[in-house]
Amino acid sequence: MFEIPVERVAGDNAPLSGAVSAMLDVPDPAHIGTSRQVAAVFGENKTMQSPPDSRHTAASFVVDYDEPAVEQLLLELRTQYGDRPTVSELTDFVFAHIEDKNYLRDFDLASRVAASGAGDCTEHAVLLTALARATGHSARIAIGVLLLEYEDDIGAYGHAWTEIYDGDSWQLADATKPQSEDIVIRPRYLPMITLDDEGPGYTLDFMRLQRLQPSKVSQIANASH
Amino acid sequence: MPRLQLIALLTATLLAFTAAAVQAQQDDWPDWLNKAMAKENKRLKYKEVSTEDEQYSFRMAGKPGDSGAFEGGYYWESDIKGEAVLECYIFTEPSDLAALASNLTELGIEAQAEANGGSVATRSVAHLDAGVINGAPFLAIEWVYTMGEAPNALVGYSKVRAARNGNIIQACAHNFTGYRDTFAKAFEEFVNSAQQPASDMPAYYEEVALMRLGEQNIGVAHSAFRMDDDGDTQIITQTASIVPVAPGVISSDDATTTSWSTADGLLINSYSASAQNGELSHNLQLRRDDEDNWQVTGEMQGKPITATIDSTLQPQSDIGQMQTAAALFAGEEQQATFLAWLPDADPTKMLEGSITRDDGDVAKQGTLTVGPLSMSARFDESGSVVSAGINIGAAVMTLERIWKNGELR
Repeated sequence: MFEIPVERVAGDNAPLSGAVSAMLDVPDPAHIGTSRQVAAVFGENKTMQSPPDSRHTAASFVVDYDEPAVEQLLLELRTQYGDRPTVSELTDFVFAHIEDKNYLRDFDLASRVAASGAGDCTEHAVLLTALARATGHSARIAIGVLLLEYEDDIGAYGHAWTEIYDGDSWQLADATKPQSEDIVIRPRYLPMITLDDEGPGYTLDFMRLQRLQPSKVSQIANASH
Repeated sequence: MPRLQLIALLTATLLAFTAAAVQAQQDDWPDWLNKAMAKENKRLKYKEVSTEDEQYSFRMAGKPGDSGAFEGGYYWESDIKGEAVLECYIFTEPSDLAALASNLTELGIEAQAEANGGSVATRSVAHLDAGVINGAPFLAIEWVYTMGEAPNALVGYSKVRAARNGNIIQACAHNFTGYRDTFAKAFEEFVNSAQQPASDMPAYYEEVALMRLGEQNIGVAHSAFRMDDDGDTQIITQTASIVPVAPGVISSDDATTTSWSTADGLLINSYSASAQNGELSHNLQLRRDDEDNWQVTGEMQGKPITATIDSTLQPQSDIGQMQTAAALFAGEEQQATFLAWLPDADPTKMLEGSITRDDGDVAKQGTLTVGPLSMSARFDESGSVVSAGINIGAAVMTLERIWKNGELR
């Protein structure tokens, strides 16, 4: 995940609680130095609104839980947590499986992540989505901005995570577990797209982000202000 | 350079969320290290060296030392007055430039750590660069690192430069603090003086573009256009980039596209391969089958890909895209569209690209768009891209043509 410059409201050092509002500077992709401002709200469980459909349970080119490497990993998962692991168990399992947490992979398919046990946020999101679907959940890959609240600071990052449907609504699941880091007080999320094309053209679908990714997150404040 | 394919390639890299500015800051170094880094050899002398069969010869800086052959190449060592030898190599087998440069630095660092009886404790990228030497695109990587534990820790410094020069890759390494300009000059002469067998099919046009992420030079793209006896043109584009992705970590990306075009800019066939950190990412081919349909075959991330694309869809080649841009800026229309095969974006489709004029203030400036992706580009008379820029969040990626030779036909 790459860091995005952040700015709080001048003079406002009040602790953040719940949802957080902010302004995003979103660059015009083809005119360097030109951007527009967009208001946004970050939340701890903020998800995209579109309802689940049959794609969210199916194996695909990217979320290829029908490949041998993922099937092998599923055996381990089931041995550890049974046939229907909870979202929390799935998240813990993926976090533990990706031991080599590095930034050397662009966007690996689930089978590659299962085999390598390596990657960054995108690999965590892809593998979690695959294992969730394989164990009966509707799941999809979400991409957007992660706002991390530290003791004395705030950081914003381009990030990817998973949304899993609980029967009533989508729930956010982040297998990178940023909240497990001692210095992080609270993560908040702003989803921008879900990966809709999970076929060999997934990169083109991913490129929708170009018109949405902010170059700066400013005027960060409690959403109620 | 039309480079819709480069747009897709670069954007995929940027969207990976991994680009980071992580160079070591020389201002933070202790005085003794800054003094050591300032050392140079200002009286470099050069000697001619060649392979045993005399197919390849070069001018090598310093006092010649050991030399020899290895599988796929040759090496020479010399003394340039630092406390480590200058090592220079040529690789005569096809290799990926960025992966090779990255691997050479790793070998150098490992050897230093081993020689000093310890392992690497900390490491930072001290310098990254890319550019061109007389038509040969090059990459440069320098690392500063510590070996062993304080208070007995040792500081190491490794420099590597590698260039694609015709059919070979030339590389030099120097694993010692200082002598940075000396090393750069020695490498430049090594590349500039290269004599090698002439190509069977010489390029009638070549160009090199520099890739920048913000202010950082991160990579190079080299294109060569060659014509066969039938008047068709083979276009080979090779890109190589090194992106710092985290403190002490770099990622190398290499890609090669070989395509054939008719003289009027129609794509005949195309082959594309890319690798990340030396590992194959994709390997894809587009060609017409016996029934004239387009067939896509190959693999992405180790998985087979096959697709059939309607025979009536005719993608333009790089030449066709340039012809489209040239005609647009020579005429009155505001926009021109074309089909392209961009395996980095979606290998299973022909994608529609467009060029929209944006030349109110800057001559031949336009916006190149494919699917959801847009970038600004400035063209020359032939429709080739002179420079281009793309914004993605906090990152700005630019491409600039820095060298060309010959004329487009």
